[in-house]
Amino acid sequence: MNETQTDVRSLSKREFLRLMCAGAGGCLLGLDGLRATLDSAAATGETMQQEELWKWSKKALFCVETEGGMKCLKCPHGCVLAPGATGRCRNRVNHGGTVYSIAYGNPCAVHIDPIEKKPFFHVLPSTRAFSIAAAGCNLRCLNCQNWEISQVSPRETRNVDLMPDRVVEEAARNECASIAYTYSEPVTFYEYAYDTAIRAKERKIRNLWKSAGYINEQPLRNLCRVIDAANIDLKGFDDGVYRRLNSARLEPVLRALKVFREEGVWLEITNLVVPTWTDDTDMIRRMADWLCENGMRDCPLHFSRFMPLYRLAHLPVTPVSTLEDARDIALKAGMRYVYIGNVPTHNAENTWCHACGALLIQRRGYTILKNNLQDGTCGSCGEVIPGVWA
Amino acid sequence: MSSAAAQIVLLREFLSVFQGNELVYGILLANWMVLTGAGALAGHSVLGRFPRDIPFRSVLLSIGFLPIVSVFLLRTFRDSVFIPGSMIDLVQVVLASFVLAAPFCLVSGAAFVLCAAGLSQGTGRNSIASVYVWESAGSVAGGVVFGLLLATLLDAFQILALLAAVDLGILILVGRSRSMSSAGRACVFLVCLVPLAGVFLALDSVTRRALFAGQEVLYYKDTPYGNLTVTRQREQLNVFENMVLMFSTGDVAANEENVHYAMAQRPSPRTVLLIGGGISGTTMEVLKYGVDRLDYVEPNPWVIRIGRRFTATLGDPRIHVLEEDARRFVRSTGERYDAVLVNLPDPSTAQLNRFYTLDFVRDVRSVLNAGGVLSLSLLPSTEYQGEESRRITSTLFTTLRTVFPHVRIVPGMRNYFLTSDAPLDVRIGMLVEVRGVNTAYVNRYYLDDRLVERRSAGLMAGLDTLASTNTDFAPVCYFRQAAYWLSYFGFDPGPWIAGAGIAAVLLIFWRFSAVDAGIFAGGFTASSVEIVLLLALQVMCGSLYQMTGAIISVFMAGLAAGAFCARRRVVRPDLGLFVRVQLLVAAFCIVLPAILIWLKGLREVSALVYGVILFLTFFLACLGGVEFVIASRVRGGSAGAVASRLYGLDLVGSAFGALLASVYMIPLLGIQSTSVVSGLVSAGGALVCLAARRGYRVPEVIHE
Repeated sequence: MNETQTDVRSLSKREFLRLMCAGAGGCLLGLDGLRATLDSAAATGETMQQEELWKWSKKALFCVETEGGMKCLKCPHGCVLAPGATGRCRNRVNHGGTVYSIAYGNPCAVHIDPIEKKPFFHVLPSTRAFSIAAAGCNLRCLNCQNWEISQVSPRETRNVDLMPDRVVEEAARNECASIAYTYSEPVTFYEYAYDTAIRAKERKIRNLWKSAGYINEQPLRNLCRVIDAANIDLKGFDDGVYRRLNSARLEPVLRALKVFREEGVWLEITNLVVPTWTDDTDMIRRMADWLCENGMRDCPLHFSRFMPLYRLAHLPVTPVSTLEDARDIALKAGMRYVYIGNVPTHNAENTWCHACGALLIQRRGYTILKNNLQDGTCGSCGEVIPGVWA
Repeated sequence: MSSAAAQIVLLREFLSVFQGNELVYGILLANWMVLTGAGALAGHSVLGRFPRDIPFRSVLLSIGFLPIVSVFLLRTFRDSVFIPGSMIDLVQVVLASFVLAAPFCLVSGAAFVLCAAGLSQGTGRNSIASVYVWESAGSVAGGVVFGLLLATLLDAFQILALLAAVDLGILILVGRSRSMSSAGRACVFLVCLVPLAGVFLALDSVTRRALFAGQEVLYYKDTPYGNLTVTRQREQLNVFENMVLMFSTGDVAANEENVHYAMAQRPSPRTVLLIGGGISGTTMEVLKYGVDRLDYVEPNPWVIRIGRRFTATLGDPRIHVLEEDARRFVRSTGERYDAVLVNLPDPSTAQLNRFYTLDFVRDVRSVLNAGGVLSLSLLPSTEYQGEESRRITSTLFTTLRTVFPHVRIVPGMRNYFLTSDAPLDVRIGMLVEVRGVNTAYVNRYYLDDRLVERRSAGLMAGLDTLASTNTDFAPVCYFRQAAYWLSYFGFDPGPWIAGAGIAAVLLIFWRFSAVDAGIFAGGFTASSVEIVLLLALQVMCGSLYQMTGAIISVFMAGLAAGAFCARRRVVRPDLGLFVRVQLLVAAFCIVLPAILIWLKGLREVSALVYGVILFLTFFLACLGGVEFVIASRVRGGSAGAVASRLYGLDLVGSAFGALLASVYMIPLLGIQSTSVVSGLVSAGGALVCLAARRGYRVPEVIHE
């Protein structure tokens, strides 16, 4: 473990005044302006001074030189990093004209989880996933469950020295069938995850990508060559919601979903139903329609119950009936596998055959009580059930 | 009187709409006092430009009218200015409260100067002391009548409407002998409409609905502990305290975690004490163990009323609901328990922190049977502990470990601390199965014991073993909690507060006289020690918020009494006397810790403790009142200018005192050292005056 290192940030006088004006104006005129201004400042990478490189710095992929500095092409933010600047994800720094990822081989969270916890319901049921995360994220979700790692730099967290080879060794040693890149946002530690996934693939260990899907097409297509399954948080189906709640845009996420399908990566989708933000039935209907129209009716869709966390603490928990209505809407739209998450013992934890309606997998929490799948087909009617079953 | 009552109502509104932790409270209070002080400082020059009568009428009208507007704007525009459902960060709290409180505070600060200058001119002598006496006495009346008596009967708009009506009445009484301009009549008419609108248009419920968009508001109540609101959203009821969700009905996982981690530890717990959270459904979970008796204490008695009215969780005859202070109950009960379950929010306030201290844990140990288990929970459990959450967790762990030999942390939705004098087991899935208890979530299906063990061990291995303990008199947890809350926003206000303090001190020395510096120091000391006394009382007797009003009223009464006595006896400027009183205040503060330690030993005798602390508060405030009157005699200049400076600086000093004491000094130094440091500030003020003694000239002109 290396000890926490404080992130040294120094603002120029001009930048300081700009941020202060933005702060004051934002508070008086509304938060959107404030957040947008602060976000844009962060996105251009002007505010953070970069420290010396360290053992875990690795030359970043997908960067091009522009007039303003090095432009990162990994995610739709497209940060332009002047020398010494850090990207919006807090994970990429421009050091001497070269961009480095500073979280290579130093995850801050390393756990073993049931694969159902991610959630993956159609991937290797009842197995364990060796789960890793490095600090940083390219989104700013107000309800982030893991804000203590997603909203800080890898230099601010207590990390573990765990290079890709060792991740794979540890996963194998702990009898994990897969490695999950999860918790924070794996797009920010892309290089580390990518190299680990290559090694895992060689050892027949599956790679799981749990992400917000805010990534550009080329990096994603490259990634799809090495990962087996992805669970993407589709945080809503409204660009305004994305901008205000997550400081991101909807369109790139939809594009990423299509790319996953095109590249043949097993895809599951999670939609957190946040009261007053994403519980609008019309919005849910539009989302389900879009998924069906774009060839994703076989992708499991998880409606997850919101719990007030982090900065979104003034909202109630999602009523169970809201989740049930969302599920009904999605099923009627044509989605075949729709689940409800964070509601213990709910019937919608189970998998039912889309053809004959037979109970295929009976779950209770992260435990499989009954599995009627036979080589990936329904034990009753023989229909092929989509998923990664073995 | 209006000012004191409006202050209580407005601060309560701010707290219920913003996050109600100690830091926010300190900042709101500081903002309030700085603005009022600024109003006083600016009042003299600004109001002097108008004809004499016009400012007085305008000021009275504004004092009645502005608080209503502020509350209306606060509630109506909360969700359009800020992101709906989200916390408001510290900078936004500062700016929003500044903007909304500024009109009222500036006007009310200027009102003091206006009255002092006007009365001095009318009587032909320095009448600052008289105005100060009346102002303090009015504050007592306002605080007691509106803040304490009417607060539970009327809603915010009704109280403010009544206040506006009182102001209007005064205006009519004062102005009836004079002809009033048509513009003046129009203003009076307008102000008449506002109270009517407040009462008849049910502004309170209308504006409150705006705060809970998408939910049906079933119940709301401003209790002495904060605002409680019950809403319905489809089949689900939600209970909010100060707009933060306490619980939603049907949250099975939370209810089970709150109970079974601790209860499953022992084969057959017979008696259980539940502190907080019973009406969410935890009582039902406890009864699954077939207990003989479940004592349930809720820190806020209004929560019990909500439970009885909206839920069926308290009906079982084995449940004994006790409507008294939970800490006092633990100290005085003769019962012994197999489990004590504390289900309270994080220790973000001094009130909540009382249930996470070494003193409380010791009290709990004395009521536990051999092998009994105490359970507390803290912060959401996440995949990684940030530095601030690690510090709070370490502090609580050390505190528990000081009293109990066995402490384990179970990472669930929150981090659950189990502690006992007998070994504990975190293999909860196995334990629940062995006990044969039927659960939906806390069982082996959701909790993989090996993974829970692994995570628990990892969590505990990462703790700081040298962390300090959290005690009643050094409540470090709520400071850590505030730091944790601030880390949401990546903002540390410390340098800003320190910078503002240094700037204020430099400004005073540069622009103001030694007497000004003395009164600034006096304000600082009085308000910081007032908070020390408030916390001491709360620690020893419980229920902070119920006593806040009483302490503030006694403090204001002391100011009035001190000023009243000094007004008659101190007729000549006497800088030496000013210095002696300051030194007396310093001596009081330095002796106070010894008195508090003595009182803590006598805490069983609540009445005596109440009496002594209220007396000490009164005595301190008397000295403050005397100090102000002497300063008004000693300070040279016109009555308006003197009133403006002294009143303004007294309030600005008080603001810094309140803020630094509540946010930094008490949690980091403890309440005893805070008292001593505050005393040294007063002594510093005395030294400054002493140094200026040689060059001091007795003022000649002291009225306009």
